[in-house]
Amino acid sequence: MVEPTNPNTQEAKFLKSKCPDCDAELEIPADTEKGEIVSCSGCGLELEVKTIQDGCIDLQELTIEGEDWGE
Amino acid sequence: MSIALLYERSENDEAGIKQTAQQLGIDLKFIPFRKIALTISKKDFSAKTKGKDYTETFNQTAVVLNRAQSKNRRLQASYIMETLGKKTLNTSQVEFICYSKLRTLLKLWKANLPVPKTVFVPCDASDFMKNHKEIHNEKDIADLFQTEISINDGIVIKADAGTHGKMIMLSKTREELLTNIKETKPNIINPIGVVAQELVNKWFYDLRIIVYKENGKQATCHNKALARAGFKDFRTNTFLGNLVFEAKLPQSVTDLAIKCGNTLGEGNNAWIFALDAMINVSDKQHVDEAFLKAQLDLAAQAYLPVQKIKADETRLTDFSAWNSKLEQTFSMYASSNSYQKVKNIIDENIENNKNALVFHEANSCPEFWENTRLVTGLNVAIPLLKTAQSLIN
Repeated sequence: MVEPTNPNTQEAKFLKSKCPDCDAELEIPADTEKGEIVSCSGCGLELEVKTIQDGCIDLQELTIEGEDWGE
Repeated sequence: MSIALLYERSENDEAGIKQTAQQLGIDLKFIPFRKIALTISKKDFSAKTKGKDYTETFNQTAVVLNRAQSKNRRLQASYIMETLGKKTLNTSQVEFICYSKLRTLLKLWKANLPVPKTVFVPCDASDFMKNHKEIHNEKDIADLFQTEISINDGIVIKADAGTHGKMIMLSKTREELLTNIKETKPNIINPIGVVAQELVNKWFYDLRIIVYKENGKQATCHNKALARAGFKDFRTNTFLGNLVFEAKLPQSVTDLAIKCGNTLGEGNNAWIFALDAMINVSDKQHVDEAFLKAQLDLAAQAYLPVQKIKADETRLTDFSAWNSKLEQTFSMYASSNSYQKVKNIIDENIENNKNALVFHEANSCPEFWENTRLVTGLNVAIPLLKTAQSLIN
């Protein structure tokens, strides 16, 4: 969970978080809702918004498996 | 110049490779092979995601450890990287062979290595005429299969590029065979035709054997294999919920596995494979099956805590702590009486029937962190990284 930066200013339309995979700084629109899927701009990883509470956002990597994935 | 780990999603295996690279002091770069634009234009090449330019990472990479999970994307990734002058593990040539069960079997068969009897019919289960009318070929294909393999012994239809046991179907009657052929429509894991194989009576287990070759060295086979065991299904994939046991390999089997590796990796300086093998145990089952089933049931109980840890999503947030828990619970499972009893039955059965072993598949990008590593004691990330490193040296 990461605190939003300066929630009282004009710029505070984004919540900040980090990509769990590549550590890129993520700016998630503040009006994002629980269950929405966002992508990391650094590595493209898809993340699900698990919770948004008091300006904090919790993201979790999506488990995806393609038809030809695996061994 | 460094080694880059190319991946689609960082799953447990990739997290394990990262952790192992840190422990070995290997500087590993990362190339996400996902939402990235790989652009060729005049003499330039660039690789950019929406938020990051990876072109310099590409430029600084000497060897690409290709861990794209999709068979199709992995093949494409190897070819792209080689065109850019990178060395790859495995090479696109190897990926091309391993992509297809049929190509793998052909290569092994040509080298006189043991494989199950396999029949390939190039035509698809149905075709469409120009007027959109559908023509059914199932009966003709079934006839062709049945002239080569008796339906009474069982005919297994396999998706040529299938993974995790998907679209592997057993037929014991003509009706089942027709239904299963009909299911095998052209798709991403079976682009053309239908592959059928004799049913190998492997009793209750099959083997996964790790072989690898570093540049400038002889090929190596780890002398302990992963045995995947259970009576739930004729398929023994761990993905289908089967249990895992360590299996000691006789020298004759490791020698044979090395020959397989050298055959599939022919012309390449370095390679790594997880070979899947079955032993045609037939009626040479040396213990009472009721006793074995009882031991497997007990082992399944002992395995429950391991399954619980595997499903624990803390692996996504604290891989190291999750891994410690996984290792502890697995160690308890492996020291249970039932595990040891089943393991001994497998070891004895392999020793008694080692001449009846057939290889049926080779995996160029094996999953290893959760099963193979814990069962065999071989952290496959080490040969993966050292083999990649040998291509720089």
